Amino acid sequence: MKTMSLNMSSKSKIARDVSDPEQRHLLISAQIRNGLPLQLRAMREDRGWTQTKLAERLGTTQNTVSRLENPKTSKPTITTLKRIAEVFDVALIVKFAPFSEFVDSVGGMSIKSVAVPSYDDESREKLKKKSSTAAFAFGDTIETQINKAVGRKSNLLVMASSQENTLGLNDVVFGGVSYYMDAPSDAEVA
Amino acid sequence: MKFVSDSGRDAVEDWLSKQVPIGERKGVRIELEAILRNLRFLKAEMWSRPQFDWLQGEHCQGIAELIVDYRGIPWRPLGCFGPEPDQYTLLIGARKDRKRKGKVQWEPENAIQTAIDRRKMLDENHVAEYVL
Repeated sequence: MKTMSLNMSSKSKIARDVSDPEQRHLLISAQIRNGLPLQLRAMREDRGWTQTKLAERLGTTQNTVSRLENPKTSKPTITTLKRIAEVFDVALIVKFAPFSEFVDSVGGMSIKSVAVPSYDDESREKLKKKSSTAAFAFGDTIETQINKAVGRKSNLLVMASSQENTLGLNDVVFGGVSYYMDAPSDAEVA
Repeated sequence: MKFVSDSGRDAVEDWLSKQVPIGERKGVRIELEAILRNLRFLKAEMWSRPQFDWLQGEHCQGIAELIVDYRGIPWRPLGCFGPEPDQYTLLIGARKDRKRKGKVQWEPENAIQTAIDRRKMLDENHVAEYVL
């Protein structure tokens, strides 16, 4: 009897829920209560950390981490959330928002929006994508290879390539891709 | 996913309309969906307490409870993984009360047996997508 709910997307379901004044506030409350503890656990397990290891990094106890991961006991302050974001090297967004933004955010949840990668992992992933589309020619210098991967030339790339003697290509690429990506190209500077 | 009987009755709606007091229905449903919405991005082996637990005992192997506490009431919808890989199906909504004489009381009393029976019936004709 596969007849129910088949034509409804997650977003339209949540949009319907928020159209009811009572439900929308229950929904916000339930999402915060359940979402944060589960996200914390997902990020921790994604990195292969135990609660004890995370506690050490946070400068707290395993019991505190266990409480933070439990929707019934998790009541983190913004200061605690900032510290957690720092330890995982992820961004933290705390703001009031229109319900349309909430619907998009919760309705569009994905594994990446839950087990959030660190800044370095995200940069590495971006570069891998770019690299897979760039064609390297045999004999290209490291600078040329990186420029092809990133798709433009920048001053910072030149600086990175000067470290060729001490760092392998991967070290250069993976260690500082975000700087390359953000640096203006020569054309943009001109 | 959610179990659907031969007569087309959906286990979740059935539970909410029959067992959950009218004033609590919206809250219980939203709480259950918030748990599932966030839990579904964790690998199955990572599903564990405090949101999820396997039932103990040989006879109920493969049946699990979702831990949905709402306004002090321990709602425990029962389910199992399947019918397809990476799917989880809610089989019956239930409430688990404190142990009396060392025994956990379920409401409905036959909740576990119903879950076991429905699990055996799981196929594409007995499930519907639960949009979260």
